[in-house]
This record gives sequence, structure tokens and C-alpha cells, in this order.
Amino acid sequence: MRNVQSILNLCMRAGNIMLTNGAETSRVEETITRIGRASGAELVQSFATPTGLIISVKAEGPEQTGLIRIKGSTEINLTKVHLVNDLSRRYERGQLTYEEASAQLDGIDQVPRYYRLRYQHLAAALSSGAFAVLFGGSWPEFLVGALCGWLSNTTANAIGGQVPMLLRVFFAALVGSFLAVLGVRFSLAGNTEAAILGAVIPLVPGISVTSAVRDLMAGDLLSGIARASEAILIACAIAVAVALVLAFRGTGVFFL
Amino acid sequence: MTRTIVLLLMSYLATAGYAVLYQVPYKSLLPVGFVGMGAWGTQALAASYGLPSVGSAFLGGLFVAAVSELLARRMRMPVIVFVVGGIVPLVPGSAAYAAMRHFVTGHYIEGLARGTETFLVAAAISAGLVLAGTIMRLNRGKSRA
Repeated sequence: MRNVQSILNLCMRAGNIMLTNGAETSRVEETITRIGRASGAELVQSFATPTGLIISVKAEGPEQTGLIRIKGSTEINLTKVHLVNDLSRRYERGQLTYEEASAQLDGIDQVPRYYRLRYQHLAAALSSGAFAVLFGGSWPEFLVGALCGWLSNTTANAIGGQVPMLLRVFFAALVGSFLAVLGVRFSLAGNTEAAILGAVIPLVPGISVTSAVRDLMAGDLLSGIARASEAILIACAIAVAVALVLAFRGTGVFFL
Repeated sequence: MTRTIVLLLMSYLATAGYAVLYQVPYKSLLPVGFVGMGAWGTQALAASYGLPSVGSAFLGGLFVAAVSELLARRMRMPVIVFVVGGIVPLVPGSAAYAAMRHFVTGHYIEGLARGTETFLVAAAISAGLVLAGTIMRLNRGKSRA
């Protein structure tokens, strides 16, 4: 039997990694319970929200409770979510000792990213270009969309974590759609709609929408509503940025 | 016909590229692309039979959730890995763009109409996800018991 403090510590670290990297609430709570039980706790209770995590563990002696404040994450990494989840299952089956699980958790936490940065840039560009074609564009729109999507994604990453998420998305969308309209202005592409939509696609809050739906489905109402409002706010930030660029279009201001 | 094939390939590329931004596990990258391609194909097929955009988005959402649950179970990965990429080709971009364009040119009624359409399509995708996800979970519960 392990002492309560170390069980709580392991649960906390696992939960923290999962929440900052975009896991949905029910999966986080399930994983924490699994890890706690496998470490020999009699009772594990957890309450996860997108902004904080409370875990209470009871082994021999009095129950202990811990709290972590989750600061909004800058980078979503679903590989980490998968790896922590997988680790908890192996730990539960007894394929790992406490020390091994703890060391592997540290290992997962330390990897900065699983795709090299240049592949992420490439992916953003290809994805944006492909979306420009999907929304009615052709090859010129593919190129303009790819370039603008790459730049808007780079802008969002470059602004950094100190700036609130909403502003980051707003400025990135502004840069992307501005350049897309410029591209059309200088006759690099013909279809403004396709170019702009391609440019803002990397900013679309896919993860918030997905986890909001899954949280609400699982009955985690608090997290579900929090994530749904995040998704709506981000969508609005993109829409306002695009509207701003469209409003200046044709006025000659900023070459538009 | 050629156009359709190009668009299917594009939806694959778009989905897989978007999934890389969320750093999905390497092994899931190829299947994620197919989820997105299937979702877009389902939606396009439904639309070609004259279904309104809300209905075809709902079918697309159903497809994404059903296939993602199956893949997640087979590959032992969180469902969210597949859903995040899969729903992206269904994003009601054209309607949202049209709404914005109408708003900035002062056509508020048309803007509201397209804005409502955007919102309804987004709601329909979510409804599809919820419905298929719930049904698949019921199924899982039975097979375990």
C-alpha cells in the first residue's frame, strides 16, 4: 500500500497533462479513478473542469484532497491524451509499477511536440489550401489559401500565451483574411470567399466544439457549457475579423 | 466526376492536415483523413439528393461519430482523436461567410437568415454526433454485460 500523498500526486499529474492537452472531462475523471484504484486507494473522487481539477483520495488514514488550477493551454496535443490514457490502462492491468508509471508520465510531459514544427506549418498550409478548394475555389485559391492559412496559423502561435486566446485568434484571422483579400486584389486568385475561408480554417475551434458536445452528452454540464461558450466566442472572433476586412474592402484603405 | 474525386481528395487532405495541428497520434493520421473524407462525401451525397443543408450536415455528423467510435475501439485511442478532424469538412463556412458579407454591406435581414442557417447547421452536426455517439455506447454496454 502506498501513502495517500504519492497516489494523489500521480493522479494530479496525469489529470493535469490530460486537461491542458484537450481531453474531455469524463475521460480525465475516468483515467484519474483508474490510476488511483490501481495505486491502492480505497476511494478516488475527482472533479475536472476546463479551468481546474479537484481530486480527493482515500487510502489508509484520513482522506486527502488536492487542487490544481489549469491555466488555458496554448497547444493542444491529442497524442499526450492518448498516451496518458493508455498508460492508465496498462497500470491498471499491473503491467507497470508505480515508479515506472510515474517515470513514463514525466516522459510524456516533457515531450514538447510529436510533429516537428515544419510539418505543422506544412499541415496548416495544405489543410487551408484544400479547404479553399472545398469551398468552391480552384488551384489559384489553393495557393492563396495555403499561404494565408499558414500565416494565420503562424501568427496565432507567435503571439504567445500571455495574450488571451480570443485576441490571438482575432489577430490571426485578421492577418489571414487581410492577405487573402490582398491576394484577390492583386489577381492572384479570383474567388474571395474560398481564399478567406481557407485562410481562417486553422483557427476554427474544432477541439472546443467536439469536447463541448461530448461533455454535455456525458452529463458534465459545467464543462460542456464552458467549452461551448469558448467555441462560440472563438467563432465570433473569427467572424468579426473577417467582417472587418470585408468592411474595408473596396474603400482603398490599406490597399484593400 | 473528376471534380468530385478532386474534392474528395481535398477533404482528405484538409482533415489530415487539420488533425496534425492538434497533434493526433501518428497511427491515427491516415484513418482520420478517411473519416473527414467520408463525412464530406456523405454530406455532398445527401445534398445532391436535394436534402437541405441542415439535414445533410446532420447525416455528416452521424457518420463522423459512428465511424470514430468504431475506429477508437479498434485502435484503442480516445474517440476525440477521430472526431476533431472528422467534423472539420462539415464546418458551415460558406453560410458564415455569406452572413458576414451581408452584415457589412447593410443587408441585415439576409445576414440574419444566413447567420441562422450557420447556427442551425452547427447544431445539426452536434445533434448527429450526440445521436450516433449515444447509440454506439448503448451497443458497447450490451456487449460487455
